[in-house]
Amino acid sequence: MWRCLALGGFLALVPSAASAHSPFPGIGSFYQGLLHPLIDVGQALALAGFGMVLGQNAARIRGPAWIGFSLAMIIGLSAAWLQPMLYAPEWWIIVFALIAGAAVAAAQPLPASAVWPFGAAMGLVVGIITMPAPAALPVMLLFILGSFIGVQLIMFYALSAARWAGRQADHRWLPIGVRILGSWVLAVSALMLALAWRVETGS
Amino acid sequence: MPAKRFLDLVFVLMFGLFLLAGPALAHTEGAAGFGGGFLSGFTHPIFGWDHVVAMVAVGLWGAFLGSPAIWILPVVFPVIMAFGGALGVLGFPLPAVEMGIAASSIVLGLLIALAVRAPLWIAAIIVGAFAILHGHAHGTELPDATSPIAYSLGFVIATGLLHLSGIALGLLIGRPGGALAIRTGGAAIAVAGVAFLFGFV
Repeated sequence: MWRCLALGGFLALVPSAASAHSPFPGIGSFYQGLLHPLIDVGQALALAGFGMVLGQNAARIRGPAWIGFSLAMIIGLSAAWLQPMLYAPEWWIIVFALIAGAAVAAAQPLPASAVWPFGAAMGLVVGIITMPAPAALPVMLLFILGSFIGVQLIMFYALSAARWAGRQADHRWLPIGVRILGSWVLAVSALMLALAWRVETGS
Repeated sequence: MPAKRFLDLVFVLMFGLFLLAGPALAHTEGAAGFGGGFLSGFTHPIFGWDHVVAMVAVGLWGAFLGSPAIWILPVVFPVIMAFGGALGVLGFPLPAVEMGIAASSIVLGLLIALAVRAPLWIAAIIVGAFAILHGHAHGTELPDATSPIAYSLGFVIATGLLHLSGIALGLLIGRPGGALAIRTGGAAIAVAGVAFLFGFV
């Protein structure tokens, strides 16, 4: 019995190339899209920051802001051809991250008139810059679908974490932890902007 | 199952794993990719003892100051440090940065050792001034980093974690003998600062 188990354990642990996970042709582009917002650090920071902003604010602001963001992102995705006309899109994203980080660090209730337009503008830009490499239409569509889901997941996790932290009345340091994360987002964004400025001006 | 038999089985399995071990080919991008940049940024404050000591000191002093300073400083410090970092990235010269960094250990160490409870705005000015100097030192090296974005992410997180380590140590203040231990630590930080200043370390 134990010999069989040992042998089975060996066989299970023998390393070999994993060639599975390609049941659908082109599914790889979906996963590329899914990871795209994470690989782009500026975008990941902006999304996580905005997610935390939503988590810190009331449901009446949170829900419409998220819907507005998502709709704007869909519009942006369908208008990705605008990307060449958008001046320095990577700057835009970092500026969004900077503002979102500042809002999280400040942890003040924000008016809907500030959160909704901000979310919509950010969703639009995120959509526009999510342009897949030229390929067959289904492959590009899978990439876009993956990106959309990836963006939603990042925001969902950040929002949920911030919201959960805000509810822990017995652990007052948890909302402070969220504010510290916001200040980190702000700090990294400020440095990235300074660096982008330096590269742009050649100084 | 007898314990000996179980240990035999574990031994056989582990021996087999050693025999089956192949080369680890992951992370070959090393110093060139995002991971390399992040690691470089993350280790920069940790391998620089002057940074480590000062960051921990900020957290310790925050603990002495009590609420709300203990919670405001770790939120505000990275932001001000980033401002200093941006100055460094843009090549804005600041005088005597290294001397100021060493001085930060001396001043903060003395404030802790003497248990000075300054008003929040004075504490913010002192810590903020030092944060700019520390940020400037990091920022000056940023443009040469392998992946500047990853570098900045790494050093901001490392600085924050050092800061939180200081706060965690500072929470000893509520324990018997904790205040004395923290004040002694502050004195050690001040001595370390003198060593940094005069190049003994």
